[in-house]
Amino acid sequence: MRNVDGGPPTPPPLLERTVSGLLGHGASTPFILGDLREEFGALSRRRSRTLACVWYLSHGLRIAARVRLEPRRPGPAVPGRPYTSSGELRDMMTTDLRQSARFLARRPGLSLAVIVTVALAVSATTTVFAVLDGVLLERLPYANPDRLVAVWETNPAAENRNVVSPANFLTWRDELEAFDAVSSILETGTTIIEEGVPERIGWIQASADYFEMVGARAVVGRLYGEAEDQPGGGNVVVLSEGFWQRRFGSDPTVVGRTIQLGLRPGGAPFEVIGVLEDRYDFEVEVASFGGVGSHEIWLPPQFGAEARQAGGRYLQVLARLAPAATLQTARQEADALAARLADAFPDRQEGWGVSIVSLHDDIVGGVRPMLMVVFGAVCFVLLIACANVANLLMSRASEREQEMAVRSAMGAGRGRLVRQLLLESSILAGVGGLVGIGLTQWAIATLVRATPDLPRLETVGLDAGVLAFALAATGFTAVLFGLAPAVSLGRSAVAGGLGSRGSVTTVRMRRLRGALVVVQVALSLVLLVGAGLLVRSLANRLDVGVGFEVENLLTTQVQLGGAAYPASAQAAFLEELIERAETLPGVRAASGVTGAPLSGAGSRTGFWPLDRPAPEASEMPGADVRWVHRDYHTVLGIALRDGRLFEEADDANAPLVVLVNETGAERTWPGDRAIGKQIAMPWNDTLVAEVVGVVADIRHNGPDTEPYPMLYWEHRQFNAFNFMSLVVRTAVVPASTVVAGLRRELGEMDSGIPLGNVHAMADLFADAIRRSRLAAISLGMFALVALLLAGIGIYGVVAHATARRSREIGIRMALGAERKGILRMVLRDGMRQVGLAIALGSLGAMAMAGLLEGMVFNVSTTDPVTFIGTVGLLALIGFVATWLPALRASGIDPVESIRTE
Amino acid sequence: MADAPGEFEQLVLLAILQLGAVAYASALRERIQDDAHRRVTRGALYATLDRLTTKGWVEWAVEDTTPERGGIPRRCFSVTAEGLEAVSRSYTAVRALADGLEDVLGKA
Repeated sequence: MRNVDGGPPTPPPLLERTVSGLLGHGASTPFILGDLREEFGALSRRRSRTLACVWYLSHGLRIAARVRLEPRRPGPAVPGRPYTSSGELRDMMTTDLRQSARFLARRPGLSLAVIVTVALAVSATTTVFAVLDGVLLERLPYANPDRLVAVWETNPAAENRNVVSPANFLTWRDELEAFDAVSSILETGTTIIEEGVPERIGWIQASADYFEMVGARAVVGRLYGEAEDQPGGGNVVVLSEGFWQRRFGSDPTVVGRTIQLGLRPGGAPFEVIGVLEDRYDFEVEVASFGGVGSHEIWLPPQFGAEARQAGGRYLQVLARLAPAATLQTARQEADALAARLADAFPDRQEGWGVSIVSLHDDIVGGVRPMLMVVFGAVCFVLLIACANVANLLMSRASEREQEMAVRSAMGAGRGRLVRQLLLESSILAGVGGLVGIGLTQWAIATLVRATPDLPRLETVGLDAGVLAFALAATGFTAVLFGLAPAVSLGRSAVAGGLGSRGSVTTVRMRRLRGALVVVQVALSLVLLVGAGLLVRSLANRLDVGVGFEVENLLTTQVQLGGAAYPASAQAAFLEELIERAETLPGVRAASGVTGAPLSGAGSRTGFWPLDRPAPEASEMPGADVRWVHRDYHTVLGIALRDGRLFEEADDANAPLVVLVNETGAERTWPGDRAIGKQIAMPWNDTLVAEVVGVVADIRHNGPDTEPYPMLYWEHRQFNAFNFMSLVVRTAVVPASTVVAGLRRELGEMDSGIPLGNVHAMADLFADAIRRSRLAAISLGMFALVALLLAGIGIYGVVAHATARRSREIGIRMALGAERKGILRMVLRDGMRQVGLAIALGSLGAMAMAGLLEGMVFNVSTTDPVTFIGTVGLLALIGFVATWLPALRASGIDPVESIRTE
Repeated sequence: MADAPGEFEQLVLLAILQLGAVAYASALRERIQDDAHRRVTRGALYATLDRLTTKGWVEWAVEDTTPERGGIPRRCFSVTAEGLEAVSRSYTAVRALADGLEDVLGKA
């Protein structure tokens, strides 16, 4: 406060009180304050008051720190010699550093063990965090990522992510005010017939709005706009950047060229108007008929008036919230609209609703629980590793008690000893962390190369955020494992002094170490239970399988060009192709289906049994529908349960027949025989057919998908499709020779048709359980590491404790204790800790296992077998780790042990 | 054996002797900085003065305040007989050891 009466300026009372408090009650304090006041006055007159305040505080703090640090008793110089200038402070730090480095170098084994543990723990944690960060935390690479939402229909069968009909999409676009842009997206495939070699490519039909919505830009040329997304808007396509590079060598003059696509009857050419930057590609979730999994070209859907009546559902819809709207208001508005539509069009809208979720959640929601669990697991590993390192360092620290006591007696303050220990652990953690970051880089690269089934994997990398996490994790370990020994040792040096044996500190340290081991073992148990549940789930998935033999089975897609193959010729072409395929060497049998299992493709519709009155559309039971070549079930190995399979005679002229799967038969005619019953299915016209056979269920999209009613039709009887997936059962020959043969046969029949999407069914099956496998393997690995560390921890503590007690044991034995008794005593002490840890860990595991709900398969999260097995395993490890040092203790020579003391 | 003053302690003792009746903390600091050409932190100086007082080599008297100090009195330091003996012992030792080295030391 400036004195109004013109007196000299004085520091603000708060500052003065702070500095005074810090200086303490020493005799010099008032005089120091006076000196400071004097200088404050001079400075504030010469410069400014603000500057003077800053100066006052900083110098006050420094003086206080220095004066308070002064040792209370006079002592000789090294190493606690009070320093007198910043140069000497630097010297002292260098001395400490040198001393620490020297000590660590003297114990290379221990140092290496700590560094390796820290490196592994930091790199594992950071790698998982990198995945978490890239997949879950990083924003989508689009413009306004937070306002983008995915819009789905919800259907009467309570599926909340159903694809959308063009009619509803157009209505939403026109009427929902919560959205300022709405785009439909459809992924499918076609053939490009440009320049000789035909190639099967994937294309996306996306509204012109899509580009504006995600802020997309053209690499060359332009993107299509509203005018071209109208009926009669012209045949325009946009190429994807990757396709442009691969097929056209990044030639910018491709803009304006025309390409031939086997897309529409008549084969009108398409004009290339631009190339879309790859980062604006869209992760399509619902593969439709004919999709190939990649996106080579983009074109506008050009919905016309007739689309407003189109009730078939096949579009994915993306929208952007208007500035005033929230998810909440959008949902309310969409619900109201859905109710109105249900009233207006009960036949196709009854029971259908709308679901709106943020696009980010929509894309990554499915993997969030798994990633969180894996991340939690790896954090456990980090904690366990810290506990282990702390234990190692404490065992070393107790050996150093003498050294520290000497240094303390020579005048080193407790602060300095603690600092020395913290410095040592920081060096270890720092080196470990650096090695860990190096490992992380490698681990991330390996992980991304292995392409686990995760969305947005391209965003996973070692960026600044991940690096910061690694540093934080390293600092965390340094503090956590350095602090415990430092604090307990610093105290010991001051309190214990020279020549003390079995001091209070030693006991305290031993207790602390025991507690650390208990925590370690308990955490390991939680991890082991989690890993056990996931491994069992994986085993169950493998066990359940998909209902047919996936080994030695190839699938590939064939699409016939439009005009050249009228409906009548299509079936004949596919029949001939299958016949030719069966003659190839290495092929045992071949067949075909629209939408092969595990490929993600397929169609679903409603149907009803004719022995009952036709239900309302919304109450019609649903069923998956496939059109198959007659040998399909035989080739896949799907068993016939009743009636017969398709036969040669079931052709276009024969009465319509249908096969149903067991689930369909049981749900439709419970307790009754399905054979001979009639069903009706609306498909363009209504098809009516007689059930002639019941076949076993298959799990069409992998073990996790519960069987759903399925109707199989003979493709010659009703063929509206110009594509089919071939399924080829091979003998054990390299699949490549079979593929080459298929390609040759197809080329002979029509050189304009490519063989697309070739997959081994075994690979598709592996893909279907990849997420489950990834979770099981990561948790399993972490649990093993935890188990190993816990084992080492128990061993270390028991071994150290018995070594410390060797004299006591020697005396006991000299007094007549038996070796067996000693063994029992050590075992009992060790196992008491293990038992406590198991009890705590079991409680923790029961609390945590619930998080795995949704990831486990055919096993309860409180599965007693897993729990008991895990506890047994851990108890065994604990026993072995205790028994080894106990055995050594019982072998102690009493005379020798007493004499050494 | 009598305690020997450390290097910085010697500098402080000599500076007090030099300044005589105006040996205030701030003046001491300036004098050491100017003559010994080294940076002296206030904290180090206060800590050393406290230590020298504890050892009985330095004593101080409270002097009247000035307006600049806002009513807080100040200390004027002086070296005690023991302090004088300690610093002269050190000085003698330095001189004895430096004897005949004038050429060498003069060059440095």
